[in-house]
Amino acid sequence: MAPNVGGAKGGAKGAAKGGKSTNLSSASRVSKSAKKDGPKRPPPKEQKTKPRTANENLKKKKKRVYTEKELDLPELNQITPVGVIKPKGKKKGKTFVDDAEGMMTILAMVNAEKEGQIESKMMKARQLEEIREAKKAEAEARMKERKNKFDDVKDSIRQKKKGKGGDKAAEPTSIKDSISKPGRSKKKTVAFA
Amino acid sequence: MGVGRRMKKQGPPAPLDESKITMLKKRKAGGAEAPPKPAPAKRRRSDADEAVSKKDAPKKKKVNGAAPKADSKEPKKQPSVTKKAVPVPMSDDDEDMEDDDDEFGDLDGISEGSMDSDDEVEGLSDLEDDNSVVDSDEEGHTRGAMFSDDEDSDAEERLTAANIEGLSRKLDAEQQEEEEAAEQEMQEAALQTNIAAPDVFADQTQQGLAPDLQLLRQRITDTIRILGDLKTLGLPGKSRTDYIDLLLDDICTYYGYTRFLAEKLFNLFTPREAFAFFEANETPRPVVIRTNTLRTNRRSLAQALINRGVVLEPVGKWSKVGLQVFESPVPLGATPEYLAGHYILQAASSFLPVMALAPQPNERVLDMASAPGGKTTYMSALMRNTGCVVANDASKPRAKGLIGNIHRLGCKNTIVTNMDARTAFPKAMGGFDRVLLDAPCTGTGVISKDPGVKTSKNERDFLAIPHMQRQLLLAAIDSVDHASKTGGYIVYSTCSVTVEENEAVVQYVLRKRPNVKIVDTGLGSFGSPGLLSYMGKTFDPKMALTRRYFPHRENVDGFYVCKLKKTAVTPVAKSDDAEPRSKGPKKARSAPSAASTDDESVDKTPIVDENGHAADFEGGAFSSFEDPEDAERIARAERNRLRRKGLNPKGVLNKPKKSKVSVSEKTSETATPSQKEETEAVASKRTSNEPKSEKKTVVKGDKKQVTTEKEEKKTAAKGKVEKKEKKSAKKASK
Amino acid sequence: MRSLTEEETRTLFTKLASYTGRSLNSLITPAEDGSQSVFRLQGSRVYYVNKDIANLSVSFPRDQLLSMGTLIGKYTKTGKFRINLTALDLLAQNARYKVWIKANGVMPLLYGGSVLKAHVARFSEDCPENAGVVILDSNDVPLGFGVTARSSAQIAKLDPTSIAVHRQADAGEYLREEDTLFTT
Repeated sequence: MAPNVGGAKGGAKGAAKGGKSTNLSSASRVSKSAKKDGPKRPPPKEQKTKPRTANENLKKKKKRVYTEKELDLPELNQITPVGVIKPKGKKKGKTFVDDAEGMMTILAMVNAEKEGQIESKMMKARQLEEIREAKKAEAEARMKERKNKFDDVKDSIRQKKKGKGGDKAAEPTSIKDSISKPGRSKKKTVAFA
Repeated sequence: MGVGRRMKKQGPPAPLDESKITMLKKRKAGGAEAPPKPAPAKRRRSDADEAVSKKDAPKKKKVNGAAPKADSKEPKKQPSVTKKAVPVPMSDDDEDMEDDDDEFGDLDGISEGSMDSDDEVEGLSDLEDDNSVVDSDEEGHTRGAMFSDDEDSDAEERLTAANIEGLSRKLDAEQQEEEEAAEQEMQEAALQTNIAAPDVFADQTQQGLAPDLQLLRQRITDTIRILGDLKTLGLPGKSRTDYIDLLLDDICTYYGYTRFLAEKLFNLFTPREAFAFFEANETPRPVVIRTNTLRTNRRSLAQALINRGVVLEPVGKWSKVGLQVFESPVPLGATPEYLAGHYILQAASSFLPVMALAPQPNERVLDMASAPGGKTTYMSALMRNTGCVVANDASKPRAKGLIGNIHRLGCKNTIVTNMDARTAFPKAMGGFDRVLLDAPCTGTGVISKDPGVKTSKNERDFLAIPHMQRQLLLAAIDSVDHASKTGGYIVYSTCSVTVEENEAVVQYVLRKRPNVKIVDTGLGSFGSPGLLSYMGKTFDPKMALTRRYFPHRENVDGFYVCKLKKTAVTPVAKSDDAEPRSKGPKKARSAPSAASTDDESVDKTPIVDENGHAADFEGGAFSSFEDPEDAERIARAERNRLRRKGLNPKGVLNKPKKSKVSVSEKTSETATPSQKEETEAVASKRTSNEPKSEKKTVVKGDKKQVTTEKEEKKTAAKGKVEKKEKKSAKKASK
Repeated sequence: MRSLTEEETRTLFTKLASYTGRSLNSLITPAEDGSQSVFRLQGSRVYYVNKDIANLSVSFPRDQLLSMGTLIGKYTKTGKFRINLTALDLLAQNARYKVWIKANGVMPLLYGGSVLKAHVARFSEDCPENAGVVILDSNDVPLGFGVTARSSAQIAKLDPTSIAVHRQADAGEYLREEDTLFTT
């Protein structure tokens, strides 16, 4: 309040002629608080009219512009995706590669990458191939084993048949007995235990 | 490998003919070849013996009508046959044959050399190799084609030196027979025409709704024959125009042309030739493909296609890249070779403008109307993918096909644009070394391809299209760099045969652009020269250097090719030349050429009237026309005009004082103004030329008055305007 | 029409490199006669064109310039690059892997089919699975390109009717895709 009044006074001093008007203005600002001086003041009409046309008032009306941060909007509601922040101060637009060197570097990078990929692919393929080979070898070995086994069995059967003519009955039974007996005995022991 | 053998057909003319005959023979299964000569003679004779019944008459006359055609073919065939007969017995040992081969092979190698960019020597050696291994290595197909043909005429083949005499005697006899037949025919013709001549007009009256085509055709041939010798054959009461009228009507009904177009085309030729032309428009032209030298050469392409069972041979001596296809078991537009861009289906006629243009490597060339790209890709191939070809087309959908062809054929030096060439060039780009303008046209040369032309083109088209062609050609000329070291050429071509679209257009630009001149097309003797005069118009004497092609003469589409050379800059546009060109540096050299244009414009000045002249005419220039009656009428018209506009009602009332007297004499005082007028007019007629000068002055005075009034009004209006302006200014200041 | 950005160049080269390999260098180095070719973007389409021609073509309005030099392909909306059939020449010249097919495989390919094992006449050595490969006929005429379905070693073991190369583009597209091949 106090500086305001002082200001008004200063204005009055500066412009001797317009003293009244400045006074009025000052009064208008402090209209309610300074009601006591009321009778001197002109009617409130002027109060209304003047501020509307005046520049200062227009300025006052101007709304404050909030930055996006101040608004504190939820981030999902934006046009630009959340993660993308445009670097400030950087030149707008695209960067073209029109010189051979630039192209070459890019090409070299790409080539290296591709080569690497192909290399790795080939490596992988080779490894896979090796594994496959190994598996195959293994499988073959197993097959061989099995076949051998089978052959053995077949041979044995054959021998059995041959043996039938001679002492065929005695041998198998004896074998059976020899095999079965220890098993049974063991089982028994386990069972009892 | 067999190519060498096949290609030699392309060499000297005689073997080419021979081969053609073998082709014919092959296609028209063996036996058909021998009979035709004796057979017609027999038939004619029998016909002559028979009483002339109505049904037989047409046949007979047809034969007669076809006679000229047959005659034209016969001399071609005959020598070839005799030639064939002679060398065959000679070549009883193989060495002779091989010599022959080499001879042709040489030629072949030369012609191929430039195309393949092979060394000539290489080509030769290749050929020699071919010959050495020819028997073992040659593909069965080609060889089969050659020899099986020969074996068709086995009887001839077996002839050796021993019975050559017999053969020649036989030939002589044949010839004699033919001659006799021809004579007889002539006599018959004379006889018939005497009978037929009256028929020609008699039939016309009988003509019903559905005309009998055979009769019609007969009458056409008859009329043509009569027109050929009107004095002896024509009816006494009938003039040439009557016959031509009849003929045109018949042609319209027989071939389905509009009368307008039929007349236009008919006027280009003699009646006989016109008939041949119309006939040729009914048969398709041979299918021709162009080798894409960017991807392959003709030899290997031909080999590849032959392997697919295609029957073909070089299109002619005039082209090194064309192959004429006789029959094909596979669709030519979908073979792997086609898709790989080894060839393009292209009419023989559209080779010609590009050959005339002869673009050189590293040039900048423009094709103003390029779709579907046959010519563009040919140019690109001739330039070996160097330099730059700008291919423009005004139609976007058509440009799509153009781009397809360009990519398929592997042309990498092209820019494809979609602009209106009339305005876009040289605005967007100029300074071309060569420009090809294959202008959009009415298509009267390709009626066999598009019969719609017969009916779709009207008078308007024949005004509008040449107009566009002129604009295009002017643009083409202005786009060329005259100072080009290698070029400076423009080729103008159309697939139309009419003079309006060809010579007339060229003549127009010669007048408009004195800095161009017609030069030789470089197409040699192929085609016929351009017309020097037509329907009372005479053209530049150099117009003979341009080339015309007709379906009935060259068996290609109707075509026109003109090559122009630009010698200097286009002079700065004159006042009547409403096309200021964007090319800047013209002032320096414009002086000499401008002088020549002056001559041109001087020619024009009497035609073009200016306002000042018109004013003069009122006073003096038309004085010679001032017959009294005219003056009277003019005065009356003027008066009427003024009165009708309400400008000078007095002009009526004041002037005819004498007429008023006459009116009073007539005692019609209550007459309405219109009646007054009439009476007035009558009176003025009576008074004839007495008041001439008076009237004029009066009229003029009136005019002056009017004008002054107008001026006053104008000034008043101006004042108002000024006031308004002032007001507005004040407002503004406020 | 403009030259490519770094990103676009990388995308393009990555794609091309899957077909061409090291010799891609020759595309961007000047030829012996000093002429150099460049890549140019017009709309979404990439053209490979002589530099002089590219410079000339700036005279024409963008919407009226339909094509220049050789069309390589186009960027999709998602930023990938799709090679067009028209790049075949380029690829064939610099191809890393090639497959030659027999006459009986030509027509199936041109009708848009894949290359079967039965059609394969010859295969480049050491070709891995899913590698870009140029397809040629027995006369060394390039007909298209594709991606190998198996490595060259495995293909030998396949049965005749199984697919050896997945087709990407073939010359038959000039007919089949006539309307869409060049629409911008």
